[in-house]
This record gives sequence, C-alpha cells and structure tokens, in this order.
Amino acid sequence: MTVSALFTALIAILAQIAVPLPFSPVPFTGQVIGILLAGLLLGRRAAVLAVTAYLLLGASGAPVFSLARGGLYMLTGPTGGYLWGFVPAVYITASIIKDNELSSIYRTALAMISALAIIYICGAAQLSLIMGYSAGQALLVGVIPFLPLDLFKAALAIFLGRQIHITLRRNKLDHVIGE
Amino acid sequence: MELTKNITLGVYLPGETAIHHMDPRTKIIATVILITLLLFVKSYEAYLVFLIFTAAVIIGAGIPLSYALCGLKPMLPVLVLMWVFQLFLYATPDAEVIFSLWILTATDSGLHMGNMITLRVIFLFTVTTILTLTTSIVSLTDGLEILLKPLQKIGLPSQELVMTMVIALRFVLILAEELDKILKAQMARGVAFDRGNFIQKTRKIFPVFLPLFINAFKRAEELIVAMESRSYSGGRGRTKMKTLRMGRVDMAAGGIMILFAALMVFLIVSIPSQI
Repeated sequence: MTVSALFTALIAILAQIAVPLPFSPVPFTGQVIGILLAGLLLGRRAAVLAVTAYLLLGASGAPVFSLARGGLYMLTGPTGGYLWGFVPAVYITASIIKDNELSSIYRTALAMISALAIIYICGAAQLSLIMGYSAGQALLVGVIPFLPLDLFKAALAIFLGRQIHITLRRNKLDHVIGE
Repeated sequence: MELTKNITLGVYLPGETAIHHMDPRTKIIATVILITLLLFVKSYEAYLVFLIFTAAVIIGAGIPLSYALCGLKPMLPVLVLMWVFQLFLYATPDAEVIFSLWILTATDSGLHMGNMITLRVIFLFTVTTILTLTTSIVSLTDGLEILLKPLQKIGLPSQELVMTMVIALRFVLILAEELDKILKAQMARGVAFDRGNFIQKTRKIFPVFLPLFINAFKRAEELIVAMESRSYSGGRGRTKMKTLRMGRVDMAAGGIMILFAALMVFLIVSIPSQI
C-alpha cells in the first residue's frame, strides 16, 4: 500500500515534468512513463491500486495530471478515456511481467505495447462517445498523432525500469516492491 | 526541462453555503447523475433548462462566475476548433447548405452538431468544477470511500485505496521538493538541462530520475517500518475521526435532483433530437 502511494506520487511528479517539443504543440510529459513504470515494477495489485488512487486524486481536484491539471472534468471530458485506460493497462502490464525478476526484453516490450494499445482503445472510445466521432475519425485525431512519441516513451520506460531494478537490488531495496 | 511549481492542493473554494455543507456522497451521486443526463441531451430547449439549473447551483454555492468558468479559458482554442470541425465535416444527407467556402461546405446539421457538442463539453466542465470547488479533497475521499464500499465484494479495497490517496498526497509534496533538489544538484555538477537536441535532452533525464526513484523507495521503506511498528493493519474495524452524516439538506437536494432528472428525461424523450 505504501509503495502504491509512493508510485501514485511518482506518477504525479513525472506528469509535471514537461519538455517542450519543437515539432508538436503537445509537450513531452512523463505521465505515461510513470504509468508504464508502475506496471513494470509493481505487482498487479499494487500497480492497480497506485493508478486508481492517482486517478481518484486527480478527479478530486488535486492537480496531479500532466501540466498540473486536475478535477473531475479530466476524467469525464473528451480525453478522459486515456486516463481511465491506465487502470486496465497497468493490470495487463503487471500480469505479463508477473514475476519480480527482470523479464526478457521481448516480454517487456510486449507488455508495453499492450498497455499502450489499451490506453488508446479506452481513449478513442470515450473521445468518440462524447464528440460523436466515428471509429476512423477517433483513430485519426486521438491515436495516430501520439503514436511515435508514446512508443519512444515506452522504450524510455523499459530502460528506466531496468536501471531502477538493478540499482534497487544493489541497494538491497528490492524487497520493498515485493510487499 | 521545467517543473510545474504550483502543486498546490486542490481547487477547493471554502464557503458556508448549504451546498458546501452537503454530504460529499450526495454531491458525488448528483454529479454522476448530471453527467449521465448530459450525454443524452440533444436539444436546445433541454440545454436551456440545464443552464438554468446549473446557474442556480452556482449562485446557491456562492461561486463567483469568473471562478467557475476560468478553467475553460485554456480550452477555448480547442473548443473553437472542434466547433469548426463539426460545422464543415458533419452533414446528414438531407442537410441544408448554409454557405460554401472553397471546398468546404457548412451545413445546418453540422452547425447544430457543433453547437451541441460544444455545449456538452462546457456543461461537463462546469458541473464537475462545481463539485471540486465546493468539496475539499479530504471530504471527497471520505465520501468516495463509503460509496466504493459495495465494490469491496468484488475485490476493490476501498479503505486501502483512500489511505493510498492520502499518503500519496503527502508524498507528492516531499518528492516535488526532492526532485527540485536533485535538479539543482545535477545543475551544480554542470548538467545543462536546456541545451542539446531532443535525444541529448532525454539522456539527461536519467541522472535525475534514478536518484529520485531510489530515494523515493528508501522513504517508502521508512514509512512501512514506521507504520508496522505502530501496528497499523488498516481495513476492518478501523473507526473514523469524522463520521459522515446525511442531513436535511441532503434530503432536500436529493428531492430536487429527482425532480430535475425527471424533467430532463421528459425533455430528452419528448423533444425530437436536433442533430
């Protein structure tokens, strides 16, 4: 539980780090990296707990979402699906990773890609529900523009996850994740 | 790299009105009902009724109008873009053309669709903002905990969830400070976060994130030990410092909500869809 709380806070902090990109109006934020890391490093239960707490915290008005936004509107608005999608996404990621050991790179990559796919499906679904888009339109507006950057973030999350895992073990802190 | 500094907690606007004093559970349920209704509204008349209701609530809660709507400002460009999108792209077969611009034609069905969607987004925003403006995070989490309790049967630990949220709230502040410290420490060692191309910039993230995570885990371990040594077991049998109680205000609010919902359902069913 404490580790979940820690991860909730970490996601919130990562979401506040923004690197402006020259080629896109949407800045690079660490929100998705935080989510993916939660799925990578935590067990299924702890990961889902962490992300659910993150969403509820944001919904209650704490500005924990990217760019210090918060409020229930973030979840119920057109782009809320991307946030809801985090919960099933980390569940699947953590299920694929399963053991606390370092999984093979292919397994990790598979976990990341399925997580992103779930986030996109949920996001596009809510987008089309609220905006009345067709599936194709939703895909065009809400998925394709973000694909390259998110794949990059997933790669970043994999490397970070491995580094963190190795460093934790070196510092004899890896039992914390397991609790 | 920039870090958003204003991690102040919540957008709660303290007040002494009946709406502020309502049980958070009543407010959460009412908000959920309003959101559901909004998804079905498809006529101007129904929106007008909704507008009157929302305005009454805003006035009743003593929220300055500028405050309730200021969050909409950053969304304005997106809203306009959305509206234009619908105006030109959405057309039913029998739609009448309003005007043509080069290859784009604006139809009346597109116009209505654009209006409806823009109104829906604005109202979704306003309704949910009212909830967070009149309810503090702590009472919202208290209310949520009780509302989520039935879900315990399917394995959702509501008490644990709320405890996680409260601890996380504390951690956010600690970690924000810590991140600030690490950033400064690395800058003092000569890391220029704002220089270099995109790849170089991202590589500089590693010496920040790693210490942040490791320190964070150390803190979590400390807290785990501290909680265990005080025999915290959570969950069953734990009592609250403040118990929530539904009062007369909540009864009245419930009644009003039922009446309003009935009226809206009637309007939604009786007026033909204008899209």
